[in-house]
Amino acid sequence: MNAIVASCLHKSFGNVEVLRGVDLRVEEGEFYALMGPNGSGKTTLVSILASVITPTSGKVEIFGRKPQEARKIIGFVPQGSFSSPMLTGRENLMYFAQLFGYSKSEAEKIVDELLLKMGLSRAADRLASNYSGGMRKRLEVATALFPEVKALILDEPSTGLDPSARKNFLGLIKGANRNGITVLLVTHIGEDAEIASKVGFMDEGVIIAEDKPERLKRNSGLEKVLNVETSIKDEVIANTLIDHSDDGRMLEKEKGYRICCNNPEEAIPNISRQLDKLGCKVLRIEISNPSLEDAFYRLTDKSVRRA
Amino acid sequence: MGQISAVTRKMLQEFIRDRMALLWTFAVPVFFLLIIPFINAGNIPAEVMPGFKAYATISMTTLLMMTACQANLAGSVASDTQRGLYLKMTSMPVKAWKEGIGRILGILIFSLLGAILLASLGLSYGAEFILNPVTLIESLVFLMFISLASTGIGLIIASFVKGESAATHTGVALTLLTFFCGGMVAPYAALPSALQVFARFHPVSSANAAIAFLLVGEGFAGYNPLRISQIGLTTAISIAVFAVGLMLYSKRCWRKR
Repeated sequence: MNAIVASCLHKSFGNVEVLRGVDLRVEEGEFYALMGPNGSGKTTLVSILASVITPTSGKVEIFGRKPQEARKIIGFVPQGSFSSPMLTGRENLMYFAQLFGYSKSEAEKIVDELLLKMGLSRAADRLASNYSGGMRKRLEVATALFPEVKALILDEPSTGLDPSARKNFLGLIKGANRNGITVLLVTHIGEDAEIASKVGFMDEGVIIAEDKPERLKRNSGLEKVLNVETSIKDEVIANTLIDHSDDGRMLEKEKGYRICCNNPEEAIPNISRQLDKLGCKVLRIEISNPSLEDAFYRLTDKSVRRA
Repeated sequence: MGQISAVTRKMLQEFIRDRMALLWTFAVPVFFLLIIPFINAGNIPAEVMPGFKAYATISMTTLLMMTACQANLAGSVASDTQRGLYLKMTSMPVKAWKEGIGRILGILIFSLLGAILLASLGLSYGAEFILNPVTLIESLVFLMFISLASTGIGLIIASFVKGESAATHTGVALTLLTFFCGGMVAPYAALPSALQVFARFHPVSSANAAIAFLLVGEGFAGYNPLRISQIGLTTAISIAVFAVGLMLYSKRCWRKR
């Protein structure tokens, strides 16, 4: 059965068309990650699915119902930190459980279970303002995992978390998915999307490709990627790296340089020599497998982390 | 009831734990209640002092209610908007009107607790009120108008001013402006004629004058705020401001984009 279906979805804000005919199908129990740069329409799409905004045209069904009628079975975690810093973890969950419609006694039982599931039992009576970023995020996911919820929609939930907290957090999401919850995760971080069973690439208001993560990477035509970290970072160095690798294309130059090229093993000595001539030290040079971000770049000529 | 009580409880918990909110809302009126009679001790005859203290208690209670409803409520809504709470609630099976009522109840209970505290403090400080069941009930009705109008103004601020700090400061500024220009500090008779008109039209200052008239005496109100036309004006403007605030809140904070 299809859990989430969006057909020919359009959304405009004034003259700006943000969604330009999105078709999305997420099966029940699937873990679907939606990747795309800022401004590609990801948040608008999931906001429509979570019935926060209405589409200009097109059709949406959540387990066969209209989004407005599916509020009891959708758990939505928007961007930002919506839990109250002045309430404890338990009080926050009680608040959302009662908003969800549970009586006080039902809510108390459910909240205890959620705190346990999220690993927050020991911190339950501490103010949320004293939580770490990862704990706060887990608390907010708990507000979207009440027993009736069948689909979890998360909008860039791991933004701002350190790698360890992110790993831990994604493990919890994966665990919820293993327990039968359908997950739609919006992210611009390739590593986060790797754990999904299906990944969709979104750009300029449409989904341009979707498949299993491995297939997306394979179909991008990328085989190996050269990662170079240098003591100097400027356009001259970037051009040198491209010029001295076989059919090289720069995938990323924000953190370090990531270049896709033919025969990267052969390019390494040449690149090292050229950089040395320019007085630039090579801090690290290695070959790695392409990431989903590389595959996205290959398809769109855009970095997924920067619009 | 569950949704309403959940929102009310959240509001109260947040206000009681927010030291700045407590300082602005409780400590400032308590300070002025204690200091104003003390400063004026030399200028006011001893037999008038109990009435003066009663007037100061009423004015400071009004200041407290205005601060709570105009500044704290506006700050709370703006903060929740900023944090994305309304987006979250829109995705949940939450009735907007229930959330609104819960929020308003929360601020009313909070300010009522403050009013009881100030009244007790005033009484123990030597304030003397003209108390009988009729004046008490009538005063409570005017207190309700103060709450309605202030809540309406708070909701209007929250609907337009983005950011907790900006909304709170706008609420505080409007509270102080109304308080000083509305004849709640300076005697009504000492106000310039334009401000006298403002004091009669503004539902908070006219309701404050009505409570002073009922519980302390005509001399402290400066005019008769219990004339039918004045009561009608106070009632109509209070309800209108509240209704506009509620409408703007539901349209702008709970809007479908």
